[in-house]
Amino acid sequence: MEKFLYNLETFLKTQMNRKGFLKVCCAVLLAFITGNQLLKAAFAKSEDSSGRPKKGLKGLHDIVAVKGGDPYQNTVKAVEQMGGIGRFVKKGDVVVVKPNMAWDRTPRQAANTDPMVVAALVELCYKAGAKRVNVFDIPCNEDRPVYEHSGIAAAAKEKGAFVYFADHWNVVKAKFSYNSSMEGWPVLRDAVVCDTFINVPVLKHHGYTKLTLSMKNLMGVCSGKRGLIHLDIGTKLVDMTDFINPDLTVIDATRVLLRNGPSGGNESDVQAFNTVIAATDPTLADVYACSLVKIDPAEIPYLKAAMARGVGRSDLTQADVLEVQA
Amino acid sequence: MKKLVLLRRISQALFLGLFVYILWSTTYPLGGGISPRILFNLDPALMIFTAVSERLLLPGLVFAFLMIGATFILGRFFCGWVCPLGTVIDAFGSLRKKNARDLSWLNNRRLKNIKYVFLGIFFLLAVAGFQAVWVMDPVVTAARVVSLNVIPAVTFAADRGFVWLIQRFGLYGGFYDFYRGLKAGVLGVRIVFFANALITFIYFLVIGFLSLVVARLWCRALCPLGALYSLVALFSRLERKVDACNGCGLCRRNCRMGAIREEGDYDKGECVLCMDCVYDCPTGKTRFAFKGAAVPALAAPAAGSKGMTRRSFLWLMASSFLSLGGRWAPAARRRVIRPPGAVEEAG
Repeated sequence: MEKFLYNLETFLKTQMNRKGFLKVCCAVLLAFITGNQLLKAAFAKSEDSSGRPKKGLKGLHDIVAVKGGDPYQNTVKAVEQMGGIGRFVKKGDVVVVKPNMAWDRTPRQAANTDPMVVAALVELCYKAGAKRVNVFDIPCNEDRPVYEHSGIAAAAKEKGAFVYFADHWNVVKAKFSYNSSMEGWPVLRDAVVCDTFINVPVLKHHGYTKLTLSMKNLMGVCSGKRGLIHLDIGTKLVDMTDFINPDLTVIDATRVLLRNGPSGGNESDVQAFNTVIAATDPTLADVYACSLVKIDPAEIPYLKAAMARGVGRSDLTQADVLEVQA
Repeated sequence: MKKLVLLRRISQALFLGLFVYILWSTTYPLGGGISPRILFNLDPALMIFTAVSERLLLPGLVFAFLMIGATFILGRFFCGWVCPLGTVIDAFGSLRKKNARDLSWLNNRRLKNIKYVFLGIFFLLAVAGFQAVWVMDPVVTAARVVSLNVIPAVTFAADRGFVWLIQRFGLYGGFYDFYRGLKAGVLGVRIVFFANALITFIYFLVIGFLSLVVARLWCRALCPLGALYSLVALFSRLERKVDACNGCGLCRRNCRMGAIREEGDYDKGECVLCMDCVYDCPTGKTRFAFKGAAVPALAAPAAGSKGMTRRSFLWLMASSFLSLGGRWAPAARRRVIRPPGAVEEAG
């Protein structure tokens, strides 16, 4: 300590000349650059990915909509009518069930997917022999309260799912075979490196895109500056859907937030539709969900973009729709 | 065996650990079982000055007065045995070579009186309606450093370490799940970089550096809570008693608070009960005992000290209190600024 004090005293008493000053500056700059480079080298860069492969799985029907009092049974029945979960999940698969778990809201406020719908899907996947079912989202509010208050974490964990907070460092860079403004976007690796991806959005109002549907729900696997996705959101979300390529889309329309979305909060804005929709084509699923709340799909930016580019089908009159009362 | 010193160190470590634990658990969903409020309720300077500045009878005052009551009996036990900042300052101080430089001039009375000036300023500000003691209060200072610097730094370093291991060795299996478990629990503090963190850290480093120059310089000269406690500790029941003094002056040189005067006499308000002098004494006749024990104190307190005396300080407090007493509840408080065209609320 005595030596340190002595050195400090000497240092403070020594007058610095121009040469010494430049030397110190150079040393600091050099140390900064090397330190930065070392840190960069130490942490691996995220690799490129061209997205999930297109499996082209088909169900028995294009769309199955089940109406009934119990969302759990609705979901089980909807998947059953699609031809069973075995069509989508094989033995030993790693499955991602991606709910809309974005807001610090209770299930009754209907800003997130109903926990029972998620629980039903998790259980079905394990019954089909899935090795592991992952449930995660990048919320818009703080992780912990959202996971807890939405009720999804507890419901999915009870069925044995792995529920965890998404890590923003564990991403891949999106690569597209065509020109896309989502080129190089960091997407959660777990959402891309999996055998089956089940998209479980909630049908609700959205102040900017009119409705939140399955394509909008895929924003939840995008890391990075997500706010930028809102610029030209239609094209970007269609690109994202093409990149993730969900094998099965299950839209939860049990309780529907009709106004003041996407976060909602007021229960008087919520109306019970008690419906669960299952489909393999995300565009078709979204178009059908629009018909439930009587909104023209052409008003919704991402459906408009999908129709213009011919991604998926959008003509309900040509689709094989099965509506069931549970 | 220095039993009492060992006890003090255990107490300090326990309370520091508890302090960090309480702050660490102030994250969602507020687990931990101990309300962080207790940290500040047990701080009389903070509670009393807040109550005065807000003109409110805060329920936490009960705890604050309990601490003052305990100080009436034991003396400044808080500073030496409990205070988290005091513990850290002691830890810094242990790096210091004992008596490396002759800094005996720092032991003088004037230095010790600086803290009363701070206490007085903070009290005046409190009377005027400003609770400003948080700037220097040791509990608040320690809480700032722990929550703005220590916890973010530790969680950040641990997180980066895990990420490096996982990415470097491709441990995306069970080890990754273990990391996720930690993120959902003890490492789940969201790493936030606070704008004021650097200022807080520099402030803390200055306090640490002061204690490298002179042991517990902060506690001796600056701490407002220490000043409050030292005023109370003057009347404490527990006293240092020297039954036989050979005048070697070892205790005086080693005292971390510079509280010991010549001939074994000491400054009661400065003593933090660190118990070092009990074991420094070559005659082995130094002890701490309650008032009314058989052997009386050796010498009467030295008279004629310069600078602000205790009496003048108390006069300052009383007169300032009286001079502002007419404005105990200032009318300005009831005035509100309303936007143009606003209607007054009912009631």
